[in-house]
Amino acid sequence: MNAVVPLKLMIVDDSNIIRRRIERSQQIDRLRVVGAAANGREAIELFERTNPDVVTMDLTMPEMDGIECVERLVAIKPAVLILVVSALADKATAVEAIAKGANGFLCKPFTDRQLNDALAELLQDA
Amino acid sequence: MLNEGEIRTFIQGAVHYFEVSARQPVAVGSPYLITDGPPSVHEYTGVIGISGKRKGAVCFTAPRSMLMVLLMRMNETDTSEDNMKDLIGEVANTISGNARRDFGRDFVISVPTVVASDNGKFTPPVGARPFIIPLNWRSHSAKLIVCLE
Amino acid sequence: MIKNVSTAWTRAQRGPVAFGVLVLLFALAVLLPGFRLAGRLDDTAAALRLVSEQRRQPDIVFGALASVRDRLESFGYVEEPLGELRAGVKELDGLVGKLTADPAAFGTFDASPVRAVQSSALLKVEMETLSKSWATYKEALAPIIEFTGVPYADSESSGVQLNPAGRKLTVEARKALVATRKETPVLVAATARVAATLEADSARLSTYLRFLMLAALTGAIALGVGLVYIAVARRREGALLVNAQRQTADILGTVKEGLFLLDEKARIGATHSASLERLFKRSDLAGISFEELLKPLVPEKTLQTAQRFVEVLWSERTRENLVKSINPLQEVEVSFDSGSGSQETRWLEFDFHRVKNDSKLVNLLVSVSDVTPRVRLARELAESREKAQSQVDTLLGVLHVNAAQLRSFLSDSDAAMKMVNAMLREPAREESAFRRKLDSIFRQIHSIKGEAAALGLGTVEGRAHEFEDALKELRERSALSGGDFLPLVVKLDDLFTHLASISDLVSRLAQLNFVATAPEAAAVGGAEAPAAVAPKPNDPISETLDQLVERVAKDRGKSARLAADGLGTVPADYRRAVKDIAVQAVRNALVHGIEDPEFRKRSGKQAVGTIKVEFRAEGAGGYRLIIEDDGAGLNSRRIREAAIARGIVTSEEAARLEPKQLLSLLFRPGFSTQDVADEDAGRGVGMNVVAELVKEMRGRIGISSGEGRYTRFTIVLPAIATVAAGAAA
Repeated sequence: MNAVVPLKLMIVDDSNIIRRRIERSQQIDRLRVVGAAANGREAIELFERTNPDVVTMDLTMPEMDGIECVERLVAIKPAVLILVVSALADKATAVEAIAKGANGFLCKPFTDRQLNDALAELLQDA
Repeated sequence: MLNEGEIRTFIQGAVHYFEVSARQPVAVGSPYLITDGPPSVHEYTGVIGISGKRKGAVCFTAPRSMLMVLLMRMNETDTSEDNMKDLIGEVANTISGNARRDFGRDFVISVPTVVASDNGKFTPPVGARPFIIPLNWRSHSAKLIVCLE
Repeated sequence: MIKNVSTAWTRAQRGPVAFGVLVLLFALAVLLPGFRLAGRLDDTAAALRLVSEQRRQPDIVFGALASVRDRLESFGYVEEPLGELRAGVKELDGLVGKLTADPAAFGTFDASPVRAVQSSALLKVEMETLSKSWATYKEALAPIIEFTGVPYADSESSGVQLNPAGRKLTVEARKALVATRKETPVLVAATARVAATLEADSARLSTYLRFLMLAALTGAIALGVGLVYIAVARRREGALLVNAQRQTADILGTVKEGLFLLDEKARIGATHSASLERLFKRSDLAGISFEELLKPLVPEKTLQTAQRFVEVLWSERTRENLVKSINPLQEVEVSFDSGSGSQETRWLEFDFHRVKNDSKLVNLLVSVSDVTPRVRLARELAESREKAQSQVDTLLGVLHVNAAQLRSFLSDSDAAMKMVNAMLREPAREESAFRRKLDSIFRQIHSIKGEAAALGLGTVEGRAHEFEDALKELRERSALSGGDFLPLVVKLDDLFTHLASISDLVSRLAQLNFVATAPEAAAVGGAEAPAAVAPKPNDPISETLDQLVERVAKDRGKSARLAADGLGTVPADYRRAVKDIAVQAVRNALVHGIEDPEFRKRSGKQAVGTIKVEFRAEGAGGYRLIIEDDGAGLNSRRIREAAIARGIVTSEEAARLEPKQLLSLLFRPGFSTQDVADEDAGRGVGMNVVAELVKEMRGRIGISSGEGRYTRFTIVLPAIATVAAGAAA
């Protein structure tokens, strides 16, 4: 792992509290938050503007849900690493998200440590 | 109609939420039913509509004071009205979303609708008797209302 | 295991190849020098034979020469020795010629003496000496050999005389003799030396060849041993392979899980465990796709999720532990058509492992196990509950109940259930508060059960009974928390729903006139002034008690009648409590008081027991309720024993109790003299419920008994206004 190359992180969640929480809690040296979006549609706009390397993605959101958003983001940038952060705890949803191109799954509620572990594991692929 | 295991799913969801997010356990009071009229609610209520195989709603209702402390426990300094609503919705969303572990994918949950009012009443969307699960956290009382056909 | 088999194969294949190369090298190393040595030995042998044959030739030639001279001198026949001489010279000429000729004159595979000479420096020198000596020799002999004609002249006069040619020949012969006498030993010696050298060469070459042969033999033996070793090793490996294959077959044949491989196209591999066929009830599994396997068994959505998941498994970018954590096929409900049109439902657990070869994903190993028993166990409760909800039983139960009684029951039960809910709802954080809740709830449920039993509503009674079981279970727990009450709420919800469905059923049946319309007096509620109601023989409480007596007596093999008085005058506010008290006390009287008809006859009593229930107004607005049976009375010894056995008092405490105090034990929670709990009694709640109800109404209860004669409960209730005031306080 070459810790020198910084990676851009975009946070997608309809909850402001969760967005702020992820930004505050993530302690991966390589990651720099470049923006946060409250729904899928906003996320795509922001993605095209900031070209992030890593995305945390909520699933239950207004406007455009997370699964569809994952699919769109992967179509724009296949190398993007997406960590799904959702309360939807059923396996079928996880499979769907991974099949659409997500790289990890973190179930809400989560501790700071769980978040950092999940991000660290995600970055093993980077 | 809900069975014991199903209600337990929601209780576990609530307990898990507080354990993980606030690092402080919540005490579950003895659950009861609402037999007449709508259940009473606290100042903030997050409502998740349920569709798919089951129909109804899951609500989390709590007083402002409790949400305030919960936000503080989560290291959130912004205790604006918007964040209160955001939090109550997120709790309801998380507990409902976690329930899919047992209810499966056909338990379709909506994005949260948040009601803020002083001791209002919440009218459940379906005719089933609502189950009330009282939650005591620190000195505060909140309720989880599960109303599923 | 698959990996082991493949390495066994490569080792088995590598052996013979190496061995072949070894044999080739060995052949080259032995045969090439051997071939050369054999050629040289052949050459040397040919040369030696040549030399040996001609070894005596110089002497023969010399002898022939001497003979020529002697014959000439004695005028003998000279042609004979001359011929010998010529032959000898020719032989020696041949010898020298052959040993000095150009080697190319010989064929490659012919023995070539000259090659033997040329291959040895020593021989070359010897041969030079030999050929030089021969050249000298031959020169000296040349005039004699070339002689032709006759050496003699035959004349009459002088007889036989040498002619000039003869004379010349003689001179030449003498000259040659002189010359050869010196040269012959040289030639002989040279020939001998050549022979000796050739012999030595031959011996040396033979030794070389022998060594080579010995080496070849050793090598051959070594190769033979190697061959045997390889053969044995291969056989052993073959045996291991066969063994491994047999073990694999054994495992696949006996393992309980269904095991199979999925290739990249999601097709099932050729080998799979025998259980797989049993699990999926088909044998045409090899080569079919995962989709074909699942499609007939699961809903479309499950199939889609399963296929999605398999795709995810194949995409190597998804890490193993992530994949494991999202396996959606851990409890798949499958339904098989069991032939006769009915469906058989089972639950299967799928587990997936990536099989990699040189870190490349080649297959998915899938194991399937039948987790039906586990799932069934978990769902059993829910299923049995559903069965209990069967409407038919309810219908049958409802049909024979008087509509007024039923409405009264439904309304009372509704109130009781709401009371239970209110108790559940009451905030409680401490253990003691939870315990109090349990006791209060128990009383309510017990009264619902009692009435349901009296009315013969088995489905309601059954539910209430289960409710009591749940309560009892909670009572026995050492620590209580709010969540423990969940089963109660669920049961309460169920009871609400069930009673609502009965209510619904009753109104529908009423519309169809199946249920007799009730007399007005039985109408529920306190709308009518209780005092205005004239005592009627068929009031709901009496009817309830009548049915209770009839049913319990029948169940218990007893014979009894109810003598009710004044129950129609019970004010509305007391109606429920009075009914509850009366139901408990009457049941108690039947179970514990009234004896068997036989026993009664022997005791000089009437076979049919009597249970009196009396309700009447007393002065100052109060009431008195008396329940009395003409049974066995209370047995203080049994009460004492039961109280000790149930841990209500210690034996020391029991011994100190006065008869009156002893009787009060009857009202303590958990008291019963019956060992096995059944629907009617034995839970140790009956009289406790009576005591609690009386207490709630601020009444008093008295008990009197004559052993072998009667038991009487006297309950005094205050005026209604007092109760209301008490409740409000």
